[in-house]
Amino acid sequence: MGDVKVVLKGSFSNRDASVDDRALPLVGTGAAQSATVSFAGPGAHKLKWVVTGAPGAKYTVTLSGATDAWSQEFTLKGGRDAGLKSFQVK
Amino acid sequence: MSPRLGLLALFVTGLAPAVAAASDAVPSDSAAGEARLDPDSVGVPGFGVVFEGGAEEQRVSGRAALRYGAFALDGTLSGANVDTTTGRSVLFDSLDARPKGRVALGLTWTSFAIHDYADVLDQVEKLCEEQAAEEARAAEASLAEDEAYAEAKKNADARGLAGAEATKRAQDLAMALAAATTAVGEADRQEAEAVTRAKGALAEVERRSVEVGALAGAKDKERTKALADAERALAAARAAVAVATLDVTLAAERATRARLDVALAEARATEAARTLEFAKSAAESADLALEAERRRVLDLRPSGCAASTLTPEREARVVWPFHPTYIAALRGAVSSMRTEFFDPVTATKARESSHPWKMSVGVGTFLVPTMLLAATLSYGRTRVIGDASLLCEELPVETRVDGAGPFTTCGDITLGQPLWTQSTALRFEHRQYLTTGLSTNPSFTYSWSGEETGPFAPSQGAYRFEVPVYLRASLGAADDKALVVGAAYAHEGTWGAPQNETRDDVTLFFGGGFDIGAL
Repeated sequence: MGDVKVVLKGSFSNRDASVDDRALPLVGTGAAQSATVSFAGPGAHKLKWVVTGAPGAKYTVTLSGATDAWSQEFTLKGGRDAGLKSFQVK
Repeated sequence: MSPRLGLLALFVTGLAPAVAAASDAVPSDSAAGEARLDPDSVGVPGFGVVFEGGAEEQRVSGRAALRYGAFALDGTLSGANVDTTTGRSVLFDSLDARPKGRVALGLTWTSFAIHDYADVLDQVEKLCEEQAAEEARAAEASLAEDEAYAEAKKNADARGLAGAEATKRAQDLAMALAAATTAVGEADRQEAEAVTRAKGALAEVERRSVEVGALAGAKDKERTKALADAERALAAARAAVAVATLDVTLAAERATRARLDVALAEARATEAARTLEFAKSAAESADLALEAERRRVLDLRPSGCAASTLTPEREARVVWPFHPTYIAALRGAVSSMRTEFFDPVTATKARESSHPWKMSVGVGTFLVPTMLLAATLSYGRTRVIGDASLLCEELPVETRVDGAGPFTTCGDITLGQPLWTQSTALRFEHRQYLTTGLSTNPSFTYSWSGEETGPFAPSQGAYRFEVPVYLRASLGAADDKALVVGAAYAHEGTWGAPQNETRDDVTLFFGGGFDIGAL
């Protein structure tokens, strides 16, 4: 069993995320929203997210825990963004 | 997606929306949810308990909510702490006695949820795959033309060749070492055989010497012959000893040479092993350098993909459901209230249960990521009852059995039959989402009510201006706990009525919240 932590951080007004199409209960205050997902064992999974905010604002998506650490900064080009990231649980 | 509770919160704050919808002349709720209980952008808390300490009355409300995607189902239980007529605490007794208590159920929908974007995510995923395949093809083509990559490949190939040669040399030396070791064994065996032979020849010499000595006492003729034979045999034996001794010496020399060969072979093998290890390390370094160069050229760093990382042409192909900086919200609430009243027409006391309801629709736009400008239009049926204090002033409701009276008393009862009225409200708010530090949520609501029959009179209504100010502190490593303290100032008044009335109120609230995770 492994725990993977998902963090959305940055200037956004709305955000939502899912892993394998299961919504994540993102919690937190202000510009840092996070959720931890537990997996029964090793395997491939997919993180999806949707974020809105002011055009040009930046936000960062981070994965850590029982997977290769990953972090990437994105830009809300039109005040919105939707993305995905495949990851492997060890 | 499964149902989940988003946040378990304990808040001490103002009126719960559903209660306000049922009882207040000027509803104060927003279609987008209760700001004071809102733990994140457009959500509702998993559970909340609210308390209001105002200038005229105190009220305790408990609220729980269950989220399912864009929907939130919430329930509220509320009671007033102080009866304004008697001055005593009636808290939840008021659920039966006066219309201060409510149970309410509300359903809220907000437009921002990931399932609304499922189609967008599907589009982005396909476009990402398409872009990744195209980039891979272009990168592979550029790989062949990249000088640095070619140099790294040449170096890796050379290192690989050196490694192969070192391996072959190490194998040859290992074979030589094995042969030398075998030669040592053979030399040792030959030396042992030579020693054995020398020992045998020496023993023969000693035996012949004894024979020669024994013939000393024999007759002359026989003795002379035998002695000559014995001496020949002794000479032969001595010659054999000499030969055997020489063999031993030669065998020992061969063994020594063989051992020297082994030592030399071992030294060469050790050196070859070092060379091989170095060659392997160099080859691995060259391979890593080659892979790094390949990644540099192909840009193969592990990354996520989003609409914002697509090429402008591809990004333009994404069809979004609506402009993301706008949100929409719908809310429906029904409450239940039990009222005990005195009907002066029939001069009887009666009880009734009623179910006021309200529907709200709201739209909002984010001025900046943490500030929402929103408008909510609501309509509902409201149960209106008379003022309990009138009962004290105007009606004798009890006559003592001892015959005294009649006289006026202040009963805990409401005068007049409750009436259904309809209420419409328009609320404007500037919501600053709760972040660490100070935030506020000023709102202006205009409401007009009337009986269910008869014309509306929007020119005669009531207004409410409210300014809550919050101070929020984040707790926990993941900011998953929070404490909130705040105060709200409200000014209410009538508009266009024959007798305008105003009222000011100050509410203090405090609370906190923490995550209870997904179900």
